[in-house]
Amino acid sequence: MKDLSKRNLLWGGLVFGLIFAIGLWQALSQPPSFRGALLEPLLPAPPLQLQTSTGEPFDLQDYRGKVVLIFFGYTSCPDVCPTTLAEMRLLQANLGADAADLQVVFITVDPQRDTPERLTTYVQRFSPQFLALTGAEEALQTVWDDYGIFREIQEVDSAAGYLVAHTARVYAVDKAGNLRLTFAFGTSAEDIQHDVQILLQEATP
Amino acid sequence: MKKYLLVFWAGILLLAACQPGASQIVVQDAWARPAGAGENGAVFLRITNAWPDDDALLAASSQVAAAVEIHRSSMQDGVMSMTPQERVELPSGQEVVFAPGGLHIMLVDLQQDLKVGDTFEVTLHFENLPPQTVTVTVREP
Ligand SMILES: [Cu+2]
Repeated sequence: MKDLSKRNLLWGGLVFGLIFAIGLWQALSQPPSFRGALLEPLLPAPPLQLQTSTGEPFDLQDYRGKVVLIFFGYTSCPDVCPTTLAEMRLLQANLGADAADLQVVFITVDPQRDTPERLTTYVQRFSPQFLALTGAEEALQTVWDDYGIFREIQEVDSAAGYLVAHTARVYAVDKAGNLRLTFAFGTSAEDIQHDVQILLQEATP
Repeated sequence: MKKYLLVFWAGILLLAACQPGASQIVVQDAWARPAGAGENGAVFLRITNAWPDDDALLAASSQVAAAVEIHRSSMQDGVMSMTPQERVELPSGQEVVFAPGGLHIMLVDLQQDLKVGDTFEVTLHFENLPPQTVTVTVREP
């Protein structure tokens, strides 16, 4: 009787240990689960042949080893664009020292009204580290197309003049320069931070 | 006798407080994002219609902007667009929320900087009830 219960205990322990080991192996071997949408197949991020709002040429290649978050918008936009940029600022602040390897980039969808000065003032209000990009309409059109940005000028009855309907997603470029993830409007700063932290931990190629 | 007089006046005051008017539309948590002069801003708030009848918000006005409009942001297939609203229904007993990504009071062409901690006034114009002026606080969301 005593022997039997001892044996049961031994078997129980073995089974428990096995289950634990399988669980651990699964947890370690699974790819990290992202909260944003994974872009597949994995492709290099299309180039951004544009200028910064302070007049310097921009080259995405210079940002290998950094995580780049790209958002498209316009400075006359009082709601969705500031909401997203405020989230980016919160994310940057929450990352602390790790934010050194993060670059937030705002690309205009309204070059007609978004002068470089306006763009600079607009993004700097959120963070002096943020960059705003602009360029000739043709160069911008290439970028909008490459990133699948829908953008349409809407003539509405508003004192603001026309409004611009535009894709309101955030795109994440990883350290290897691949267009990796996209976040829908309204994704919490916490969820974006979760994913960005995974990307920041990846080895620099 | 003096005591009765006090009760009388207290009663009058109580009656005055219950008069229809300012308190029938309850506006809470009115705030705006920081923005610069020449830019556009947005005011967010919650409006509760505590009046027995339905009403509607028809317009808003403010000194801080060249024009004030009521807009709704909406999302379709990942594309965000804004549409000016002619009226926003305020059904009796219900709360209507103006929040980022949805309804907002748009301040077109700000005449002054809106800095964190600043306050300014916006007057809401309704279909039935008298206009109501609310104080808006500038803050980060
Ligand atoms: Cu608007």
